[in-house]
Amino acid sequence: MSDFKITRRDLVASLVGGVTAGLLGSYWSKFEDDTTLFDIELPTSFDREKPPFEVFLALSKLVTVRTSLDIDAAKRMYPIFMDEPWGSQHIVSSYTQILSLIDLPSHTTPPFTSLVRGKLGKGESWFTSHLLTTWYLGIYYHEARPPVRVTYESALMFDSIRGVLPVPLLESTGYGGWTEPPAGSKRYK
Amino acid sequence: MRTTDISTDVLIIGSGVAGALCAYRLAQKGIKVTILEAGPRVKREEIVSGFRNSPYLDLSAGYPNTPWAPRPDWGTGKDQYIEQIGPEVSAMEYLRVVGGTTWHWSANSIRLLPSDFKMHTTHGVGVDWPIDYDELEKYYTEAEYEMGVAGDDTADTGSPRSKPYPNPPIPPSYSDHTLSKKLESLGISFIARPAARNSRAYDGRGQCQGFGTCSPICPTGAQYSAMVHIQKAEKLGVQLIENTRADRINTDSNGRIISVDYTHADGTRRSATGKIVVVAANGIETPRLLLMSASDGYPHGLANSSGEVGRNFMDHPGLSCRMLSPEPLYVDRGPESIITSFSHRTGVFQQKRAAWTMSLYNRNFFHKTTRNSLIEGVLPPDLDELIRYRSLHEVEFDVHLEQLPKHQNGITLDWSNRDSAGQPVMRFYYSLDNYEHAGLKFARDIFWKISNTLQCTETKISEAYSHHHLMGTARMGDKALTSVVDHECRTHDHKNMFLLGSAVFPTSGTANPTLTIAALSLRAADHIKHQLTVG
Repeated sequence: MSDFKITRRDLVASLVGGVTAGLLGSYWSKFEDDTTLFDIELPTSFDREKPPFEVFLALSKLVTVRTSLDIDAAKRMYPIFMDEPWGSQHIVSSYTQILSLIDLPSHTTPPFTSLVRGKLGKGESWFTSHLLTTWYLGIYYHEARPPVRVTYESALMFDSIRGVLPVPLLESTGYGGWTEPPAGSKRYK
Repeated sequence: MRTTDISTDVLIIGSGVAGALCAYRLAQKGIKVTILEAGPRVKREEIVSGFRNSPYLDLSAGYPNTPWAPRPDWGTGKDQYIEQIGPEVSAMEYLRVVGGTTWHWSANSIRLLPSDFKMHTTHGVGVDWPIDYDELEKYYTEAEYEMGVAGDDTADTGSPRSKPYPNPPIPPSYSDHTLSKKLESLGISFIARPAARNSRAYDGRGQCQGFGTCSPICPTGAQYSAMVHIQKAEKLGVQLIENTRADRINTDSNGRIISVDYTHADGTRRSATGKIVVVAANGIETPRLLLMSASDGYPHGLANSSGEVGRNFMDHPGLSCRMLSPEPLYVDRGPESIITSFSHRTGVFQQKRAAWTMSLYNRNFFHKTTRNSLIEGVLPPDLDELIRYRSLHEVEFDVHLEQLPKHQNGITLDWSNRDSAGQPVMRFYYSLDNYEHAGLKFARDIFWKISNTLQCTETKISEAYSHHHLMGTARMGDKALTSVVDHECRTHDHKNMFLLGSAVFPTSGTANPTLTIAALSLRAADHIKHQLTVG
């Protein structure tokens, strides 16, 4: 394990390069000033044939750009992803490719985006998108398998609206609480 | 011949709102009632948990789908339960559990219009009901009080009332208020939609808390479900036997119903008898049971001398429009839908074009919004911002379209294929005509006007879809040649058998069917009581 500290700006830029080069301009512009430290633990030596849970968790954090994720949800996802065709290979290759991109010596020197754009392989690009979808929707989808609910309350899509809109089946407004804008709405337009 | 182990005055098949209200009303009059329900009992908290644990997002996903009482299942993709053979697909959803489909309805409790009962006389299309609005008004009122309907006494719904609503209207949401004001310029006005949802504590149930998940499930029970009257009926001595599927109805040589064969979930096969048998399944399962009960004496099925059993299926075809408002609207707070527009609900245009009602939905779009954003390639943290923006700004309108009866729309049985319960698979033919297409086109035009007036972007209009309202397949009429039941819901062919539910509707109108089902069921209970008394 090693402590790994980069800024959100750098992490975002790394991921964008592989997955959505076309959107990079607008995407980058919002976070080029974001120097919040992205501080997570990253496993450095592990069995590449059978990557441990810690690698899956670290990859999940990198892909979702979150330093903290629901561990129970991650533990439900890990065997499912490991069990899918090329699952363990994709976990390892995606993880190592992202680390190598983040670790580029010149990553702090603009234009950083040109260094990472398109650097994730095709398989790794698909896999990270697949992982991201699972974390955001809380449902695992794979064309060869039936879908699996891995989490409801920790689905990351709800992070966007917490405190403004109620999470369905979990929160309510109370009677009549819907007649005026929500209390937390002033933060957002 | 099966062993008969149930003998009762009134044997009801089905425990949805029709069966529950009829059983309750009869039990109040001291009549011995037994209900057979194909599906299991369910608990509210288990359903809530079921949805949170399900990977499927359809209305039925959290509810059981048992091998002995299977149902349509669209969550898994193409439904296997009903074979769709028509040019259009009606992706119907219904439940086979104690309490029926009112577990996941949206509580809309709108009365039909007087003209809906006289479509042929008034507009020259469809058929007339054998009863008129005035005959049903008393029962509409009773149904509203049984269900605790909240509504605005000052609003003109077009359906005259003899008593106020039992509960005051649900207050409109911020988005309802904001948008309805802006749409007045288009001649579209909204009123509080009558809904069987508690605007105050009523009948032992609490006030709505605004979870916004009325369908698939109200987590608190503030919204009415047939369980209210199942529990009341059981307290009065009604026997409800769950997990017990009616397979066949038997007659004697005079056409009198003598028994109902049933199979329990454990495979036990028995039969039940009742002086009167009431089939209160739904617009699909009721005709199916009648068709499955064909015999030498009734080769086309029971109650089917007219050939209309399973025919004339009507839905309320739906059309929705989603758009992004320039200002935040904060939908998905409060009940699923609070206001409705009756501005295009009736008129001379009905000679050529289907009428509709329009609703403003308070429904959450998180999953769809997130998925679309992911497909577009948007990544976190931009993704979070996009989901939030769309969730706060997105709005959806929906129309419920009237549909005319058409003989070829409906079900037939395929005896060569069986479902998991060993029953013949249903083949379902469904199509829309020029009448409905004209109504849909008009709705699309209005949607675009709304989008322009509100200066919305990303406006998307859906294809036509089902509102899961199953009507017309055992219709009511004065003549045995062209209808299945008489004006009291008694079958023309079997004097001791009644049919309840929206299967008996001759026309659809634009009102969600449940309140009319409830009113007709309370009315039929009076006729059943009378028949038991005088013979």
